[in-house]
Amino acid sequence: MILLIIISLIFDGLLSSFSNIFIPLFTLSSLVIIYKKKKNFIWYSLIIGLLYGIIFTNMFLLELISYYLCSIFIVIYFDKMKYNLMNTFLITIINIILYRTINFLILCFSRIIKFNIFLLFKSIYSSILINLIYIAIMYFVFIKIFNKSNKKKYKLYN
Amino acid sequence: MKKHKKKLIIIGIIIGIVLIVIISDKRKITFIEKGIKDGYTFIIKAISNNCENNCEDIEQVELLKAENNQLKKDIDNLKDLLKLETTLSEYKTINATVVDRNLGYWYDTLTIDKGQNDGVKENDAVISPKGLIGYIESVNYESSTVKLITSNLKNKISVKISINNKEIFGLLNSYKDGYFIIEGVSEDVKEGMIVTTAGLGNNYPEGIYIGKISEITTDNFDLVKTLKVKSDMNYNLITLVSVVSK
Repeated sequence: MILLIIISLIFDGLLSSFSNIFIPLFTLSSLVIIYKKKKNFIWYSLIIGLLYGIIFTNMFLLELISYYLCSIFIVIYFDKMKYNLMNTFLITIINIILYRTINFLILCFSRIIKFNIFLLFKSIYSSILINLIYIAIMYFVFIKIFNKSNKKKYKLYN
Repeated sequence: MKKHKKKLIIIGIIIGIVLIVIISDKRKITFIEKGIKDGYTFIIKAISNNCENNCEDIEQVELLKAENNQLKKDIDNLKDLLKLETTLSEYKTINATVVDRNLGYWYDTLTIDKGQNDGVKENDAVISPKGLIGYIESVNYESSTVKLITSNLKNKISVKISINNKEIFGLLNSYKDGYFIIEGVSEDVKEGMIVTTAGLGNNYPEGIYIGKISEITTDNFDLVKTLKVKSDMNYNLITLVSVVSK
């Protein structure tokens, strides 16, 4: 999981320089995969939010709040729904919307940015496609690795 | 009563968050944050350099051609920079490479690979061969964050338009739909005139190119003009910059 966090942070930085049309939010999206390691998930998300804030935005308190709310939403969602690819896609989209909206509203209230609803829409739709592709790749890589390692453990115990 | 309590708590939380964000926006970065950010910049730089080396091995010929073209462009850019440097002789210029950009999306920022150890200071102006880009928002030991002038400007930039021997001063208010907006100009100006920084009242040195006037609109009484200024800069593709430091 630490590897996934590091990969996400690095790709977030690298891809940001290449394109202004597809904006990565890989670190946030990776929360959905990290949720599989259910133990201490909320703590993980807080640490990731803190790191993201320090490295990228200098606003770690805002990121901490946003990541915390997103992770709570993931927990509530997967308590009621099954963990599969379709649901990870859906929760990724909802998380992007939630994250962008929270950030946008707080920054507007703080008068750091001007209220422009089209900017919010643009920030959401330009992030969705690239993050879904990333999540699909990470789902197959990490969840398959998880399943394999779990199966091996199961065999060893038996 | 319970309903009121809940409402008050929610309002309190919202006000608290907003206050926290306002405070954290103006606070100074701690040395731990500087260290983490520098470490990250170092990794990204190393990966970028490594990727470039590997790509050269795989598609050497094509890349060498592309690299050659890029180097030619870089030389032109650097020549332009040198020209610019001569007009800013009392300032020290520090050339830097952009490591990543605009990750928070709302903030319109760049991260460059030069910091406190290279002599970069907060509020220093940042320029490119095609003119003013922004200013240094925060400085780490080995990297810095640049706030672009295309973002929501907290402080208006004083600018001037030179006509023959006369200078007209104005204030650059905002950036909208690809144009900088200058308001409150009453003198006669024409499209195509060059707008530069005036060096008054803020950190930008005098004479840095901003753009050319592309549209002029007047108010109902034909007294005050609003100017739209088009920059030559593509703010989405910034790779090399110079920090102008006193």
